[in-house]
Amino acid sequence: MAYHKSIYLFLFLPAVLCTYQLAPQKWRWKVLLGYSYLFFFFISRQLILLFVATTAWTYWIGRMLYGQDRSKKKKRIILSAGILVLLGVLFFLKYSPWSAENINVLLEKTDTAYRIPVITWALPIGISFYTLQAVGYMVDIYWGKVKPEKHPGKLALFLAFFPQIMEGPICSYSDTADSLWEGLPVKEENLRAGCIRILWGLFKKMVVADRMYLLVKTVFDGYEGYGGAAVIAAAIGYTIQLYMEFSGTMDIIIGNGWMFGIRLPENFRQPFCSRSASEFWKRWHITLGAWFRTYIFYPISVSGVLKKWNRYGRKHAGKYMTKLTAYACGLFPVWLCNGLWHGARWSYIFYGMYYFVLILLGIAFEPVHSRLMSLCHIDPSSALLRRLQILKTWCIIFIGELFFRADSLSIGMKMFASIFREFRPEQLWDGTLLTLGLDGNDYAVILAGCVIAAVVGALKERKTDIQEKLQKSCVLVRWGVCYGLIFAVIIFGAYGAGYLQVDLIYAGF
Amino acid sequence: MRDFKRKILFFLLLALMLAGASAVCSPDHINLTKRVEGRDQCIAGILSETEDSVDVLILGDSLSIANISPMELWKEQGITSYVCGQSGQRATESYYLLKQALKTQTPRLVILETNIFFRYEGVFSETENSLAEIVYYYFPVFRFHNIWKSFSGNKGTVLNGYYKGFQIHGETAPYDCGNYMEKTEESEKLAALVRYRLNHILKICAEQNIQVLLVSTPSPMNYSYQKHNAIQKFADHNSLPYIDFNLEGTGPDIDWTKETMDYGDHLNIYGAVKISDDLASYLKEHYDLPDHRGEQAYHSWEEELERYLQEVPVR
Repeated sequence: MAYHKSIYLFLFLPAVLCTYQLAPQKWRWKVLLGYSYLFFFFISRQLILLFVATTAWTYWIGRMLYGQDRSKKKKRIILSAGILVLLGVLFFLKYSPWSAENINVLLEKTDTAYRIPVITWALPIGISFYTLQAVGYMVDIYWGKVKPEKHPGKLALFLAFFPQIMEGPICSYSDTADSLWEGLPVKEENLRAGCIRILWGLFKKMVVADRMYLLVKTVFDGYEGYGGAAVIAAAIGYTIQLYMEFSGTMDIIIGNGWMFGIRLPENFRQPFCSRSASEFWKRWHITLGAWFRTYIFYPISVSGVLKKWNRYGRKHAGKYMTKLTAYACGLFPVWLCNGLWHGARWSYIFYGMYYFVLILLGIAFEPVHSRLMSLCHIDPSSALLRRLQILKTWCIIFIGELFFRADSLSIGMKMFASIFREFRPEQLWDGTLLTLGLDGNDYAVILAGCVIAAVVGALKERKTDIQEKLQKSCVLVRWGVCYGLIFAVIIFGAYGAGYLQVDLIYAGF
Repeated sequence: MRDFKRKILFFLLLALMLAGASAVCSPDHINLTKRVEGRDQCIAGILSETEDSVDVLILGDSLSIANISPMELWKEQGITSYVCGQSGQRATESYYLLKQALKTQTPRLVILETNIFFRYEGVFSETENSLAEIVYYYFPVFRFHNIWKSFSGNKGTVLNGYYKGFQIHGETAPYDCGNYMEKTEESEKLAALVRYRLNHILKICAEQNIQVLLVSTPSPMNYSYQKHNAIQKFADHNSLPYIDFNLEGTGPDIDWTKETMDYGDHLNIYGAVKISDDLASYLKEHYDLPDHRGEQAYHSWEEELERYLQEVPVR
């Protein structure tokens, strides 16, 4: 029951809305909790017990952390135990088969007969998302940023809220929790805004992303038969597919939230306007990046060891090297975790390390870059430079996504090498692209979809509140947009016979 | 009040536009030359047939497409039939396909290839499938939304070897796992939702005075004695005739080393010809189906038979 499916949009969501609206205000959060657990149960069945246990553990640790009579040291032990159990469960379920496989490869090389049994476990839906939310909640209590929730049911709703359990956004307790149990009535303007946001999400997912999937699947599944321009097209195609799908699903999720008067955090902010890899990650999957920054990067940066290093380094290694080393120490675990969070695969770890190296190089060469710019009298804010930097970032993104999508690291390497080995630019116009699962009409629809998304993105980049403008516009414009989106999805959506069923990519993480 | 009227108007206009778009995709406009995708080709196909010309409608999943050849029924007995089969067709789809076909045809017999009895993918999937089929039926623009491509000159691909819903497969991949129909008292369970839809099919047929025949075509990969028992129970309960070509002694013997195209999942053309010829004789014997051979109105069937016979590989 994914968010773009008819059973969700036309049965589940209306049922929740009706029950929510009919319930008295103080009961409304309970309605949301009930439906959230029902949603979880529909997808993960008996694994809901694990989810309940996780919630109970988070609640208990939260209460334990708040006691005034406990020393800082005791609280630290409680927090460590809390995090260890949550991450232990995540590691055991998600990473133990992969770890066992890798240990077995090592054992094979040492001629040892013993092998660790590789057991693949069923994963509850959204485990990577709710685990991070739960850890964030515990740490926030430990830091004194929030008070622990008294009602276990309310904490359960914070972790289980159905629109975000599958794909995030990863919410912080302080930003989102209160609005979840406010129980605001369903207002017409919220409903309208939510519907338009959902339609926009469906447009991105069904018209562009799901259509693009045909090309991506053709090339990545049969990578041995393709090279050069076809691989470049697939890398660009996958980037478009991933963005349109993930951001489209986010639009649906956020639109769902709006209907109940709940503002969920945005996860994307025009990522393709980024001028560097580091800026890209401040605009792409924002809540994941923010989580890593808050709970990994900052704690490491202000840790005793790094403080000592900063003092020592300034005296013995110079300011530049000290700063660079400190960044490296903070960024390495962030990007290792980022890679691993996406799944137990070497290609994901490589993906994380790829950005670690690029971002670190960006920091390392920043002084040289600035000096070069001033020497060459280049205005850093010039439009041409900005466009070139954006183009460079696009190339970085496309290469990253190529490795991210490839079934394994070695396949990713092979595909990347094939770009140079068999580079034939004529493939772009000699009809090769029409043999990759899409015809001319499909490309036209994708292009039109991308142009529309780009225009909307450009308006947002200029701080234009499209939603507000639309709400204030005359009825003809509003209806025109609605009908336009509805019919674009119906007619140009990649669904039904002739198309492949595309599961939500991030729900798999 | 003004606001309420405005909302009504919004949805009214939406419904009107949907109806308008659906009219473009109505049976009058849909045919095999339009851009109709894979699974939906059988719908475009049956809608393209001359009105009231098909006497036997065959519903089912890929087993019906690969195992029953209407051209053989025509060649042997002059029976006009059409396979409204789709790969992985579920009972809900069969029901709405039948309703769709009945808009232009008045068949005397409906043959249900019984593998659809066991196509059940859980309550969510089935509910979603039902929702989709209802919407597809009342607003064909959802099913045939891709025909916009034919307006730009892209007519899509009509499958080669596609004859009245039957698909010719000449390839061979033998099945060698022995007997798959060991007698037992055990019975497979029919899902309630499937049973519900099958009853709908029977109801609609009863209302229109259409006879129903259950047929299990040979397929070691799909059938077992447990399934046979379940279908037999259903047939007995509803007083329906049932032929199971998987049972020894029923119909022609299939040479599983030569007459299956994919290791016992589907028959190839050689197996399909055998089964279809046997089915043709059975239909002639048990049903009052007219022999249309030689009739001017069915001249196109003769032409199609010629093309079919040229394409059927000679062994």
